[in-house]
Amino acid sequence: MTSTPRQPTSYSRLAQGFIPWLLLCGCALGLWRAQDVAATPSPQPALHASQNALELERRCAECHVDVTDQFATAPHAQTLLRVSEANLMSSLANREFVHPKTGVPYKLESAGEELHIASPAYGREAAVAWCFGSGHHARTPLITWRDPDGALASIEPLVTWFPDNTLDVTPGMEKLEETYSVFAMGVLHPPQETTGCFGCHVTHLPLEEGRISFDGIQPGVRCARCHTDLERHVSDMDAGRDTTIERFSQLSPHESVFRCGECHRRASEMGAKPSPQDTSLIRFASVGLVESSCFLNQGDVQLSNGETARLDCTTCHSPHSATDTDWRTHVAACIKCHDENHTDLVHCPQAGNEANCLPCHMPKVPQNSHLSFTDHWIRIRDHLPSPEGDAPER
Amino acid sequence: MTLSTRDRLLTWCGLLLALLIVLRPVNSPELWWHLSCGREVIDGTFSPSQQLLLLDQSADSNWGGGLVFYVIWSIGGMFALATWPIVAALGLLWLVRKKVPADWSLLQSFTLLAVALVAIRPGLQPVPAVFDLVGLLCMPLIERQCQSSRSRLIATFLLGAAWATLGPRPLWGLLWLLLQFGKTPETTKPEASPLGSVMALLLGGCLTPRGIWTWYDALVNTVPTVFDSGQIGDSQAWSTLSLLSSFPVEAWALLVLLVAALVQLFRTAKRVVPELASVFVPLLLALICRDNVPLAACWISMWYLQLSSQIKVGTSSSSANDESKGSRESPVSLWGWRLAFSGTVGLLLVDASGLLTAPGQRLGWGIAQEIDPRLLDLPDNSRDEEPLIAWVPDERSAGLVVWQDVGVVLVDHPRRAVLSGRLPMHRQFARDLQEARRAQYRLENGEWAGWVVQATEWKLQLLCVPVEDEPLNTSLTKSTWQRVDLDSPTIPYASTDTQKFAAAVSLTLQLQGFVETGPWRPDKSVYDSMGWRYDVIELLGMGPEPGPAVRQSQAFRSLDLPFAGLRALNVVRGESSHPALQREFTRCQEAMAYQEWTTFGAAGEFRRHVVQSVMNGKQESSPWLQSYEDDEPIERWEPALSLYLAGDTEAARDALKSNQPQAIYARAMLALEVGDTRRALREFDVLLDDDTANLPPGLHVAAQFWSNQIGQLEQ
Repeated sequence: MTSTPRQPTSYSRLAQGFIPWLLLCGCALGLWRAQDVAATPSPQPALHASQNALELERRCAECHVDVTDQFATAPHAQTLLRVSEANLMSSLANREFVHPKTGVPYKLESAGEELHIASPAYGREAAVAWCFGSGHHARTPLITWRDPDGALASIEPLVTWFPDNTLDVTPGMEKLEETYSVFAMGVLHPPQETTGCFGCHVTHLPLEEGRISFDGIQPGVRCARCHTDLERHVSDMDAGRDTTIERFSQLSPHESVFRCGECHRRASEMGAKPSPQDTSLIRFASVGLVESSCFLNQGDVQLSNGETARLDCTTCHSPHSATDTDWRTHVAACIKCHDENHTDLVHCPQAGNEANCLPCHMPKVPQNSHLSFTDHWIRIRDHLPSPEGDAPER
Repeated sequence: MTLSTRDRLLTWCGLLLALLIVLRPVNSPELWWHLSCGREVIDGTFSPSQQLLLLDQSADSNWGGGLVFYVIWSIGGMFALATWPIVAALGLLWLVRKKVPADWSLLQSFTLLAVALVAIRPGLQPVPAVFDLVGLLCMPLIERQCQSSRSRLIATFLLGAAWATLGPRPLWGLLWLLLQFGKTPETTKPEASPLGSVMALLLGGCLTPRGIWTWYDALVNTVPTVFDSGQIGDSQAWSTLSLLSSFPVEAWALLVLLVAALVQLFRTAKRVVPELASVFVPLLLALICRDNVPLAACWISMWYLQLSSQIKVGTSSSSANDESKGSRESPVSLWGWRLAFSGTVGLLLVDASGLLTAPGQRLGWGIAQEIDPRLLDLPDNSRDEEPLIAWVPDERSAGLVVWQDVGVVLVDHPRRAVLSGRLPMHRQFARDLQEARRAQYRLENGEWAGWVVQATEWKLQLLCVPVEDEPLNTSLTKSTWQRVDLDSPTIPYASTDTQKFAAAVSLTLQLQGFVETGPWRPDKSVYDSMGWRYDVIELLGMGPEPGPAVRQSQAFRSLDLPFAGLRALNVVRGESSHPALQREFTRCQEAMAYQEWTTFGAAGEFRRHVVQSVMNGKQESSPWLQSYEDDEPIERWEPALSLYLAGDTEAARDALKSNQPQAIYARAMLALEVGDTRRALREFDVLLDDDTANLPPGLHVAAQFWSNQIGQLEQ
């Protein structure tokens, strides 16, 4: 074999000129693409990403003023307030509370825009800027601060305001009996839990690198929180297209309760399978409801108008207004199925169809001396709840 | 001195220099994963990932890579694995020994080979990536050794098959061949046809269980950053090379090589564009993914040697040519090379000391602590028919978990997930865990996310998170997942939805109390390598390796046990001033001050002064560091403060003579920090006997709290 130099053909000359450039360009493109991929953010939760919730809500009022006016007074709309609001500060500030079991005193005082909570059990006056709860059941102030990373941490204080204008132990903290340190003040929530607290009491919660930014916060659960396709609806309207908004009644009952359960809890979030013996579940209506026979078997029942029976949260509760307190409104929903046309369904031997089903099948269970929750796990009970909230089951 | 003696002496010098560079503990995060794959292959499968992963349904292309090292492990154990990088480096030097141009001075040879070896060093680990280096070295060898076109095609075909079976990135071979199209015809052999070689390599590479998809896998493995950022939680499976982020020592070495190569190129080559591609294609690949740095360095080094040899050939064949004469002269004088060599040796000594590199990368031998599988205690599930399903965010944890072989199946592996586009799902899962989001919630793009549903679908029972992923570890501490091990570089979390792990969780909770407020007095034995590591720097009396202490402290701190973190650091703090150790000490102090402020309402005065000192006043405006009217000036806390910052906690405690409440509290806290709980209790009792009104804010609460904690543990 000789080693004489090979003469380049036209094909190899073309390749010599073309391939190095091609590879260089390919690698440069790859580098550009890699930078692009690294800079592409993952999709954010809608709650944190939506920037124009306030503007969208203004647009809602243009066409649905009756609903938006009514909704402004609904508990959902008032579930988070700045403590500086006049009526709130006057009901909380300059008051004292002594824990009935531990004897630890707490003093609530106004300090400019904030409320301060002080106690000899804790070495500093803790500042409150926000108050959680609509006031229909209770209002709990939240002590907040920024941690070393700038994230918002909080203490859910042991003291809560109730509609009878008394201060008492926050529901769920009845067994906290510490007499010193932060544990005597309430429950410490790290940043991710604090974000969760705010997350259920707002329509829009801006996050900057995972930290709550109060500049664009939209307190209260308002239109855009539940009507997830609001932006599309408004844009269709503006474009003159036929459009309608997603309604909960169009969702499956399970999906509908699931949506409410994002804040009111879902059975799938409770870890172990929910049990009627677990009285802590009474606070979480959406968990009990989906475990009820009425909910589980609704698809098997045909109403007299030929439609399939339907039970979800909106069957009894209009999310646009305060809960109707007339029991007849709620019992009407029961009677749709439990009437003389449905002989195969359970009939109550204790009462006629026009009687109030709720005290026996959805009783109110006292949480403390100020507050009761309706047990939404609809079922037949041997015993009704005692005033202390202890409901033995069969 | 005879010539042979001189040569022998120089050989030994070269070997010593090479050892100074490559004598490091093996620390590849992929090690145990590939050994586990090798073990599966021995058990009779060609698709080990399918056996080890829940979500992986595709075959492995380089199934044989792990097998080689599993066999080596089976024969020689840790000793063989730890020796591998040294053997590989010596083999590499042996291969290039005759390629060094004769007109190079020794200093020039040593300098350039040392720089190249530093850049190639990460690629010499006992993992399949080393076969990429071998494959790349074989490319010019085939070109040189095979005399006929037929033998060259056969050799290339066989190399393609072997490379694709063993190494993850045979694409480098393809690129090498493609760039041969650009070479000047004078340098190639007769009948050479790069197109035929390309086809032979492509066909050979298809001889794996993945078939033609092997080349897709090779592309993804070569440039994974083009497909996904590789980030899950705070773990980064791969990343681009950027001056803006940390620029590792091997990247600096690559830059030096690049500059040397470019200088040589412009002195010699007539066809600059194709030759430039030979330098910039590997460089761009290294920039796209830093895993490519060793291969890029190897490529540029080979090309540089080839170019230097061409000068020699050119000058000897046409000595009358004036241009060639000019190129013959080295642009760097002998003194210049002396300076360069001295500088290189100086930098290598600094590198070997580990002062400027990440912990665990200094002169030593063995298996690095962060990948020591013996430290991970997983619940033994090997007798259960149903495997335990575990999720991991990083390669290291994946390897450590599957190597245990205790009946655990992983959900996925980052390197495998990127091949099938599953990484975004894992990234979302990690974010949901980290930010404690609800079971299911809506994303801005209309899709739904939520970790609970995902975990239920996978039947997940274990999470294994690297210690370094602090945000995720901190979040999990306040979740339904509980730690079942405290001293592993990968922290296992068990689901509390099942009773299966109750005993392990309970034991770990007790241990947490013990390490935080119990009489725990750790000494150096807690970081003992148990025969798997030999730290040369420590043997030379230059202080212990700080890495294990830093990781242990991180593990405690993310568990909201900053006191235990300080105790873990104190073991080495007096003897090491590594920046990583100082950083961790600062974080622990800040966490302590913050914890005191949140728990009692105020941080102790001594603690505040410590934080201010170590942070140089950066956090002065933080409420937990605010000073009070009755605070004493910082000078009054000297010399206790200086002693404490120097690492002598006991001496600092003894230096606090005052009977002011803040000094008593500081003494109690320092006593607790060194594990002297009885003395701490005595000091706290003094505070508790005092009238509350006389004490600064929060001090009585703090004394009561700590006293109670210690008392509970003693009971």
